[in-house]
Amino acid sequence: MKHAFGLLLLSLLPAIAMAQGAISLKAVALIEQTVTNADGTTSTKMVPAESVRPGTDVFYRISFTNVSDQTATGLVINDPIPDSMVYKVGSAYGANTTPQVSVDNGSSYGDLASLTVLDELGNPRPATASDVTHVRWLVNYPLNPGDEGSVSFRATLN
Amino acid sequence: MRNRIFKISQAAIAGLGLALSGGAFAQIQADNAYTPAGTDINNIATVNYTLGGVAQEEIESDPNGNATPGNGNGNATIFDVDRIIDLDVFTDDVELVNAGYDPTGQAIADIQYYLTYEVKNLGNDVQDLLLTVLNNADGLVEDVDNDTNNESADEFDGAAFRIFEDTNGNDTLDAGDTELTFLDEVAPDESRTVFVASSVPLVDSGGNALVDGNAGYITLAAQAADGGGAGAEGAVTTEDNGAESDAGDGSGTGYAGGAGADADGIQTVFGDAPDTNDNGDGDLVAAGVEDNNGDANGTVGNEDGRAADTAVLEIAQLLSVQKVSTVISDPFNGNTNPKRIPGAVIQYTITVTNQSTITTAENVAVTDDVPANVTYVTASVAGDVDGTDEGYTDAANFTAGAGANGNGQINTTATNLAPGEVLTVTFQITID
Repeated sequence: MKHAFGLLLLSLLPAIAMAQGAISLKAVALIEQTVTNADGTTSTKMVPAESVRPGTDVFYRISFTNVSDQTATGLVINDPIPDSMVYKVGSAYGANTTPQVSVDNGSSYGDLASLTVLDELGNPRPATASDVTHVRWLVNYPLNPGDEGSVSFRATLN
Repeated sequence: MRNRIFKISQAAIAGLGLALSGGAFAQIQADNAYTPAGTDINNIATVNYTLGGVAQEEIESDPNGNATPGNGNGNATIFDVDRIIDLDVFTDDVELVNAGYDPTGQAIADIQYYLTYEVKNLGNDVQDLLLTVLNNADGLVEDVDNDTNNESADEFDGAAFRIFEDTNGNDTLDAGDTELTFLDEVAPDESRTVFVASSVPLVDSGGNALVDGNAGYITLAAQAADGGGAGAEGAVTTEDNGAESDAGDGSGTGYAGGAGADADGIQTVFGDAPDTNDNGDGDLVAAGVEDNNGDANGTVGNEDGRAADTAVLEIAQLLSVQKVSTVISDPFNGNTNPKRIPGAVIQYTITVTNQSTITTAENVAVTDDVPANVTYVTASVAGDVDGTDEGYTDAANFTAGAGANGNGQINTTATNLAPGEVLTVTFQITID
């Protein structure tokens, strides 16, 4: 009986450990909105996107927080460009990170200028913004317990 | 013979192509290819990392944050695609018509004259497009067919308008088409052909009888209405473009009835840009309806869920004229198989037909110069209207030396041709 109880504990422990990772990842989509102030002047602010007009730039911000008591290293944030959206060249940003893009559905990454895709005749051509399928950020610093950071990019809704 | 006919039609097509390429390349606007309204745009980011040198299981993102590793434990950040209202009406039609035409009560297949328009939904949702036909103000001048030459100023108004959709898609108004007042359930980037039949008066707006070249400008206006009910005319679509005042939660459920929100959680935006197809003068064609030509004259705001373009009814030549020559005799063969050799007698026959079915052509007179190198046969000029002799004489109807080449000239006495009547004028010459 005692032996069996110990087995039960052992079987539960890995499950508890799996339930919580070290990083909490939060993604929000924002759009710029012009608001008219009480004095008649206008100002712009970023608001969460609920419905978006085609042609609008959407700002994606992915924030990450170390919720564990260990230092996490080698963070790689990856985000696919949603269907019906086109990546805005050069918009991937994150302090002390290395942004890269993929034009082959995430198989390989690099600077857009260095990437090629095949044209309809099967010949390589320079990749353009609409070829980008994924964007990722190599985080160049260890994330200590409790620390947080964020990366971002923009894409246009077709 | 078949081959020969083919060549002629090829030449005709080539000629048409030249005429078009010389124009302004005006046509219905190209597809916008917007993402369909109401589409959910989903996004999930991931993070990979190591702890103490050991790679950890990937974690997915959530709009509110997620730290549970593993595929499926995050939630997509979602927004919906708003509804854009955009549409275009295009025509470059100039229809030649007879004065006094009225399509009222005619079977579709019997309608003789009609104007052709293209109507296109350029938005990203299914719309009904409500159709209205309007007259233009007298005096309007517009390059309706976009060939950089203005048509005549507007001189008369149409009435008894009838609107048809080219249901069978053959670009011709026929019994396979449908009379209607709105286009039902037009898909994004779908274009449909619309025909408009109009009556043509006998007199212009000032009461003067219409003459060849008089023009009446007919505008087809389309307005976006809500789609969704096949066969039913939707309500006029209203714009709903307020600030997104509710705090979005990334759930993709849209705004729950907040300010600036539809019941369906997306907003509706009038995105119809100035319509550059239309070379109109910018006048309003009717109260509240702009011509959408984008020239900054008298427009009521181009983003209003409406579009329009203008075609023209032009009074055609009522008369057709034909001239043929026949050899009567020559000095060697007489009347048997005569040849067109010096001394031969040639007869010219000029026929003038009033093609109108309702309008009498008044004061019809034929002027024809006797060619060079021939001699008019004295007292040979003659003429009749449907067999009734016009009694021409050399004294009244032939003037020696008056022609452009110094030869004689035929001038027939002015006469009236009732609808369908034919004036036949003949005269003879001998080859010098």
